[in-house]
Amino acid sequence: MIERLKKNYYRNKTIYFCYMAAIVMYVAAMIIVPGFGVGTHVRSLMLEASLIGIMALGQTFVIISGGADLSMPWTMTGSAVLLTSLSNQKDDNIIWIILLILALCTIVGMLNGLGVAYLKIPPMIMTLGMNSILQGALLVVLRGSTGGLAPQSIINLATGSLLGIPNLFIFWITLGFAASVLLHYSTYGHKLFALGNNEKAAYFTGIRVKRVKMMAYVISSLAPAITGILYAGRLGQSYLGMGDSFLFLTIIAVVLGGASPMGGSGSSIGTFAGTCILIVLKSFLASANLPTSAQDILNGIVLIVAIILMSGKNRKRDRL
Amino acid sequence: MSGFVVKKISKSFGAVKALDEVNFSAEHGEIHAILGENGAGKSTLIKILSGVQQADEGTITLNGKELRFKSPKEALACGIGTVFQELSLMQDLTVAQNIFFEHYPKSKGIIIDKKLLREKALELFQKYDIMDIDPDIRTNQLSLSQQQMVEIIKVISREPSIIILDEATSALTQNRVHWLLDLARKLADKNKMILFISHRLQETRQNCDRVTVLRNGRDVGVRTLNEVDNDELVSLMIGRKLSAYFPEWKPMASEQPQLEAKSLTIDKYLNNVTFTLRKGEVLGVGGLAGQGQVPLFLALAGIRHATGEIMLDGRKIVLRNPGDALENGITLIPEDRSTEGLIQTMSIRINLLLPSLSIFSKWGFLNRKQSERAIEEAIERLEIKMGSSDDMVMSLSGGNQQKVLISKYLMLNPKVFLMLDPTRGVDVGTKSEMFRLVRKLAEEGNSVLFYSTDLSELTGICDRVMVMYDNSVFDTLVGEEITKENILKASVGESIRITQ
Repeated sequence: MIERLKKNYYRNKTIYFCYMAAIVMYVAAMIIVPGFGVGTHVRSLMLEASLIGIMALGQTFVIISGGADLSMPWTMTGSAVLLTSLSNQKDDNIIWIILLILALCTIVGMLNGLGVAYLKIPPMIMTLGMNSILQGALLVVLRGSTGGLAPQSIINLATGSLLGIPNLFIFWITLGFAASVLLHYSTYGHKLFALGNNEKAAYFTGIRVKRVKMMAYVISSLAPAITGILYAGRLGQSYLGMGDSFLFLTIIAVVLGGASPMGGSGSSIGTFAGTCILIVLKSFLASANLPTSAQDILNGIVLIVAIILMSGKNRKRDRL
Repeated sequence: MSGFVVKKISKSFGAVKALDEVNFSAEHGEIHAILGENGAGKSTLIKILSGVQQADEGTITLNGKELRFKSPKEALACGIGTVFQELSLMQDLTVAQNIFFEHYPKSKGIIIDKKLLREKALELFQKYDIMDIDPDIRTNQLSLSQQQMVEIIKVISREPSIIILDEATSALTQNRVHWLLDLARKLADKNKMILFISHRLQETRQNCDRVTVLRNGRDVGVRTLNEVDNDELVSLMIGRKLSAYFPEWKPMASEQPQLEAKSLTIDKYLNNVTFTLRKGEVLGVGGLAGQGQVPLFLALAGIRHATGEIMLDGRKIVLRNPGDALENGITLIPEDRSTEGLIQTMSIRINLLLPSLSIFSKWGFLNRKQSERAIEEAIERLEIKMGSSDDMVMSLSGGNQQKVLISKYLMLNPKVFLMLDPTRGVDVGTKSEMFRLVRKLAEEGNSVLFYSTDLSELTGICDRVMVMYDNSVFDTLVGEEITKENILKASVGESIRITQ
């Protein structure tokens, strides 16, 4: 039993380290900033973490495949805007509207996958291009106005809680669990890890690498679809640019959670921890009354440092 | 004390003791061979001597001075240069850039002086008799054999006093093997020490001065090579007498064709290749390196697209990718185990499972019980030696890695095996096991297309041998015709038949 725990600890050392870091930072922030992490602040931390967390789960799949999805901000904005403008506060066709949003986001993911896997466009370029295309398209279609408010059913869903736990948080945990099962118990997950570790060998082994890659981008675009709907529900409305601040946050969360930016490793439990660290840091900086620009600078630094740490680990591994 | 002395080196991986107080010494001007079976501890010893891993206990001294190093770079600074079994060249850099990667020649300013680099590289090539490599060519345009030469020059250019050649000949073609062996002797004459690790017994015998034999993580003997015969060496290595190297076998091939290729052609790489592989047959593929053998195998495995027809059991099949080939029961054991065959950074378990995922799953989810049982069976079937199936593939020795590679396809029960030099970088014991396996697969009614750079393997286990020359089939030898001389003759495009 102890032997098994030891082995488990050894294998998931980075993840344990992430949780430790999150807890240490949380306690430190509690001591430095009065009122941090107690009472209602816990709830607001949970809500914010959930939104980033759901998207980071999608990002995890793409990062394991060795890529990155930078089209999330405007996929998410598009999802939120579609919800408010199509429903116009009414609950009548809400199921159909949600299905339509999921379908459209699937198409976005497929296009990303097509570009990366079949046309061999570098993932960063392809998805950033897609982000820009979505932004332009939405601005043209809506002519600058977002139109409409969120329907009541979605507002209730996004702001309610169950047994004192915010619904959003429950969503996050459930999706995280589903992602974990998909990654570690499905044939798809095995193929995804194989491809991320060594694409050539995976291909020689008969894995349809292009399909598997494309699927990762589809999964990763469904995450902002869901987040967009929930975010609109939480705010009661949508606005253009509501996803912009998420551009790198999801990648930071995944990499902080122990995934290698080169692909081939990562887990939803790790990403969960990474999201926690990120949110604690972010809200600590906000409560320390730092201007947003300073926060952006620090976010950038955290991303770079995390990538250095993780790729350092990777280099050592490759050498052996 | 002069020379290189390794004293009581031990190294454990978890519960497995890879090296147990190994002693070893070499002198200046000597080519010293290290022999040992699969898993005897050779790779671990090399990794420690080259700085890739650190010993748990023991000392390494050079001319009386104790050496301590924690990385290949530090080892090199101490005078130990290692040519690794797996190539480490950067594929997108030029040959010259690779050679001088860690010690660019001084030039004015901070910009790399390409001309100077080229000159320096050419100087080295001239010094070490390399004629056929342009220093400015990108490394990925070189053949495996040429890359190995560059790798060797890269290490020698740092002028280490001890040069470790770890299976350095296995990626070389025949004439280049001679080049390397001559080079090693030249360096030894200049008072360097060469540690030579090879699975080819003959080669070791002919070119080395002394040999240290390892078995089960211990050193079991040092011999002077011209005072010891092969049988003694082999029994030292395996601790008992070796039964016949090649298995006894009877031709079992039926007349029924299994796989037929009709005028397969890939522009510039493969020219109108037609042949039939019968059920229960081992069809050898010979010829000098680079005569279209690799493209032929890749085309049959669905990796490269060729025009022409491929028939399986008399039915035409279309192979767009390796997945299609696997579904048709055609498997490829690729040439480069570490980049094409296995995923080094994943566990043995997952590597074994990857091709047969769909067999052991329902609704896209893995059936643990079923798959674990199949993995255990696969490990037992080929007697893969390892700590745990959760260990990474790269922790295994070359021979055991090769077994994992073959096992993962055996789990699929395929009909056709395409084996591209499957004994490359594998020790004598495993080689012999592999020959038995190949014959057994044929006996069970499968067919094997077997490419080897070692002529004795082609004469030893093949029903027929197809010799390729200039990207097409030059001749197919049958029965009594299969001799080393005939294969060699056909390899250079000379007919073995009397013209009528």
